Amino acid sequence: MVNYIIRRLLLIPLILFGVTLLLFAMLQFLSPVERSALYVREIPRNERALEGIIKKYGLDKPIYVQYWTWMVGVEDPHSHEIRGGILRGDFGYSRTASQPISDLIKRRFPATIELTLWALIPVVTGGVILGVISAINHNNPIDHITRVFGIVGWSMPDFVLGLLLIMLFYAKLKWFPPGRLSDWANQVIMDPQFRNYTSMNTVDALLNLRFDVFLDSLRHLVLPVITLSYLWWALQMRVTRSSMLETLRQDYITTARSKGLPEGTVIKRHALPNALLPVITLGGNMVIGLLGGVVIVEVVYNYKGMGAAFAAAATQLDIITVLAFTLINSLIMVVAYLIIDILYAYIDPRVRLD
Amino acid sequence: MNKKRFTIVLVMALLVVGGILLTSCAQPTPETVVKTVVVTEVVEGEPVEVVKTVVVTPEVVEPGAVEFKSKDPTTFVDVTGAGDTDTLDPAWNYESAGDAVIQNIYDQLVTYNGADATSFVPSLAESWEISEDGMTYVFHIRQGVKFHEGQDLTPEDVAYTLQRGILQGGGWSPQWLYTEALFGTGVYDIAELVDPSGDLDDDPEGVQAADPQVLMDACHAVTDAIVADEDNWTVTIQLSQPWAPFIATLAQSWGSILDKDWAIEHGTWDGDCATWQNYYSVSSETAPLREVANGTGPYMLDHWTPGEETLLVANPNFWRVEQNVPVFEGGPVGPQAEKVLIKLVNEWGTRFAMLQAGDADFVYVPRQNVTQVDPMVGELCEWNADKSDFDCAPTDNPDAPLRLFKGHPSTVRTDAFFVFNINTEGGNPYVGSGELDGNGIPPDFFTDEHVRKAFNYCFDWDAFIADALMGEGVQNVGYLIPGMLGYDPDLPHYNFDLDKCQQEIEQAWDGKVAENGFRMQIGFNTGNVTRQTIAQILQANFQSIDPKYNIEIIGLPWPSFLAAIRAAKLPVYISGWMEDIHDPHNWAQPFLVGTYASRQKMPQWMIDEFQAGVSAAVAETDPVKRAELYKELTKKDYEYAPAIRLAVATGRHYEPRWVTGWYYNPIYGANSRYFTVGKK
Repeated sequence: MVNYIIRRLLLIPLILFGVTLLLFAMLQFLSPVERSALYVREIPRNERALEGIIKKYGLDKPIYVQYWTWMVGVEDPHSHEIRGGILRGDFGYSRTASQPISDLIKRRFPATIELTLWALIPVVTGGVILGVISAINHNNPIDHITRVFGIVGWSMPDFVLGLLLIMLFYAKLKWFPPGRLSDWANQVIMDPQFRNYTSMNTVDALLNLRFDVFLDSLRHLVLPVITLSYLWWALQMRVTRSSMLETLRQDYITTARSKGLPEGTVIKRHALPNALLPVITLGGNMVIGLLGGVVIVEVVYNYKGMGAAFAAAATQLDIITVLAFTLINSLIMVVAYLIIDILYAYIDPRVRLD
Repeated sequence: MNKKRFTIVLVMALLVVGGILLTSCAQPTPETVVKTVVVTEVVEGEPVEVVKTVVVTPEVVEPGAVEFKSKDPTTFVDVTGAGDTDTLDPAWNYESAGDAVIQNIYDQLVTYNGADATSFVPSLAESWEISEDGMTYVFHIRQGVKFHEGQDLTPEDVAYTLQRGILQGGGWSPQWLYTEALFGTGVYDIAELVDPSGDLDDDPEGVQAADPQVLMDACHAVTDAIVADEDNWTVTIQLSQPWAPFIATLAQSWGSILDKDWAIEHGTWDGDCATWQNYYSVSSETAPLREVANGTGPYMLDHWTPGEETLLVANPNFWRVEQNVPVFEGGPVGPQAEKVLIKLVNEWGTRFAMLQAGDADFVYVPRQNVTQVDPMVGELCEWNADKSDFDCAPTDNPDAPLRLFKGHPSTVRTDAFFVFNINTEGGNPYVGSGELDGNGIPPDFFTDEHVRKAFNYCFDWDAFIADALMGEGVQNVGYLIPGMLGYDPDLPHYNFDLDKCQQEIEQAWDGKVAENGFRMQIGFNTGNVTRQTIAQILQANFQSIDPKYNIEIIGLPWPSFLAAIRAAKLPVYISGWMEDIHDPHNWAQPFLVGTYASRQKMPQWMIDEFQAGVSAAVAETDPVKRAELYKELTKKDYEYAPAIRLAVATGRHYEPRWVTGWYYNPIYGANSRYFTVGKK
C-alpha cells in the first residue's frame, strides 16, 4: 500500500507537466495576433494596440521560450523582479476578475470549499437515511414518494431549480438572499479586527465569536446548498436504496432474521455496514462532482466562488484564467482519486492496491 | 398495491409541488383580517361594552397615495451586470465601469453642466481663459480644496497629473485624446515623439533603449506645454493647434486630478524628465494606482473587491459643501447617500430577484429582458427631444414600484464598413474565387462607388431596428449621432430601396456584377446577435433581387474575427463605437480618417478629402461655423458611401420610485454621478 501511494504521488508532477504541455500546445494553433485577441474584449481603437500586446507578452517568440516564460516567469528589466511563472505560483492576471489569478484563487477557493462541505451534510445524511427508509419500505407509499423525489432531483436542471428557489424564497418571501453575506456582515468581516483564519465565513465567524455573522452566512448558504445537494442527494438515495435492497436479499440477512434478531438490529448491524460500501465509493466521486457542479449554483446565487469566476472567464474567453483553473482542477482530481483509491482499499479488504 | 395507491401518492406529490409553485407566482389578492373590537350594545335598556371578534377587509389604498420607501436610505445600491472596473488609475482607465467609480472619487478641472453634455461649469478650476488663437488655455485653480487623505490641492498637482498621464501613454489608455490636442492630429502616443513612425508605441523596452536626448526632448515637450504657476494659482496649457473639444476632453475621467506627492509615494513617475521612460506603458495590471484612490470628489473609496463589489463612502470634507458650490445650477452641493455600493451580479435572474426584493436601486436590465420588468413600472418618463428632458406620468398600474425612463438616445452605434482593398495574401476564403466570375469578388470590389451605394440601398433599417434593437432606435443620418453639434436629420441619406439597389448593381463594374453575380462572406464574432442580424438583412435583400447575388454569413470565434479585421481580410466588417467625449470630432476622426478609415484601407484621395474637413472643423471654435463644417462632411460621407451608417438605440433606465435625482447626461450613459442621486 505504501509503495502504491508513493508511486501515485510521484506521478502527480508528471501528470501536471503533461497537462501544461497539452494546454500550451493547443494554444499554439492560434497565430500571435489571434492569441493577442484573447487579452482584449473589444476591437481596439488604436491600430497598433494589438502589436503592443504581442510585444509585451512575447507572443511572437519561439514556442519553447514562451513555454519557459509561462513556467518560470520573466525578469522585469526596470525593477529586476521576476514576474509570472506558474512554478512560482504566479498564474498571470485574470482579465475578467481584474486581479492576479493567485489572489483570485486565494479568495474564491475557500468560498467554494465552504459551500461544498455544507452541501455534503444533507447529501450524505439525507441521502443515506432516505435510501435506507426507502429500501426497508420497499414498494409501499413511502418508497414511492422518496423515489419520485429522487427522480425529480435527477431530472431537474440545477439552474432551473436555482432560479425557482430564488424567485420564491428571495424575491417573494425575502428569506434567503443571494451572495455570501449581507452588506452589514460584509463590513464586519472586512474590519481589521475580524481575523480571517480560513476565508470560510461560517468558520471564521465562529472563531471570532460573531454568531450574528455566522447566522447571516448560514442564511445565505441555505438556497445554494439545497440546489447543489438536491441532485446528489437523489443519487445517493438511489444508490443506497438499491445497495440496501440487494443486501437485504442476502442469505446472511435471512440467517440473522431466522435467529430471531429484531428487525432494527438486522438492519443496523448486518445490512447497513455492507450496503454502505458502494455508497462510500460514490462519496469520493461526489466531492469532485460537487466541486464541478458549483459553477451554475454560484452564478445563479451570485455566490462569489471559484465556479462563478470560472464561468465568467470561460464565457469571456479569458484563456489565461481558464488555463490556470484547468491546472488547479487537474491537481484536485489527481489527489481526490488517489484518496478514493486508498479509502476503498481500506474499507474493502478484498481490494489489494499492490 | 398497489398501482392505485401509487397513483394517488404521485398525484398528491405533484399537487404539493404545483401548489408551492402557484403560490409563488400568484398575484396578491385582497385579504380579510380578524379583529377583536370593543362595541357598545344595549342590553336590557342599558348600554354595555362588549368584546367581539369581527372579520374586516382592510382599506383599499387609492392609486397615487402609495408611498415608496426603501429599506435603507443611507446606502445606494447599484447592481450591475455589465462588467467590472479594470483599474482605478484615471490615466489608464478607458471603460465605463471604471468611469462610474473614478468620476465619483475624483474631480476634474471642469465638469458638465448637469444633463447638458456640451456645456461646462467650473470644478477644480474656478475659471479659465482661452487665447484668441484658441491654442493657450489658462486655468485658475480653486483654493481650499483637500484630497481625501488630507493634503491641499495645488496647481502643481494639476500640472503633474496631466503630464504624468501623457508620459505614461499606452495604446489601451485614453491618452491619445491629449496627445492629438497637444502635438497634432494623428499623434496617438508619447512614444511617437521619440519615434514618429509609431514603431515604439506600447514598447517600453524599445522606448527605454532610445537616445537619451530624444527621450529628454519628448518629456520637455510635455512639461513645457503644461505649466503650473504656484504664485498665481494657475495652470497654463499650450496646444499645437486650436482644438475645439479640449475642454470636453478635460471633463472626462482621464482629467481626474491626483495628489502629486501621494501618487509618487505609490510608485508613479517621480516628476523627473530623466526617468519618465521607466514608467512608460506599464501594464494596466501592474500600474501602481490600479487599486488605490485619493481624490477630492464627493465619495472616498472604502474598498474595491474585484469581480465582487465597490463601496464608496461620503467625503466628510467635500469642498463643494464647505464652499457651498453646487455641482451645476440647481444641483446638489454634496452627496445624497452616505454610502454607494456597486455590486457585480452577472446573472440576470438574480438581478431581477434583487429588484423585486427591493435590494437594488439601479439595476442593469438587458434589452431582451425588459418585458419581464415592464409590469413593475408605475411611472413612465418618456424622452422629449424638443426640451431634451423627460415627461413623466403614471402608468395604468400607478402603484407599481418602478419608474422607467425611456427613449433617450444612446451614444453607441454599430456600423457596417466596406473594405476597399481586401487582403488576399496567402488566400482569403471570404472573397471566394477572388474574381468577378459569379463565384467571388475581386479584392477591390468596394472601390466602385455603385457597389457601396447598392449595399446601402439594400439595407433595411426598419428590420434592423425591429429585430436587433427590439424596436427602440432611430436611423442615423451620416457619421454623427442624433443630437450632436452638426447633426441634421434632413441631410441626404440612404433608405431601403430594392429598385435603387438593383440600379446601382447594374452600373457597378460596367455591368459585370449584374451579369455574373457575386459571392462573398460576411463574418461576425459568434454570439454577437446584432452583427449577425445586420449580415442576415443584407443577405436576404440581395437574394430577393437575384439569386446570383450571394452573401454567406459566417460565425467566427473572437480571435479569428479580430485577426481577420486587423488583416483586412473581411470584405465587410461590422463594428461598434462608444464615444469618449460628446463632441463631433470624436466621431469624425475615427470614422472618416482614423481608426475605421485605416482598417477599411480607404483610398488616400478619400482620406485627404475627409481630412481637410475634419482638421478645419476641430480647429474651429465658433459652434455655428463648426456645425456647418460637420454638415459638409456628412454630405461627403453620403456621396462616397464608405459604410452603412446604421441606427442608434434609444435607452431605458429603471429605478425604484424611492430614488431621487437621477438625470440623463449622454456622456455618462448608463452610469451615474452617484452624489446627485438619493433615496427615500
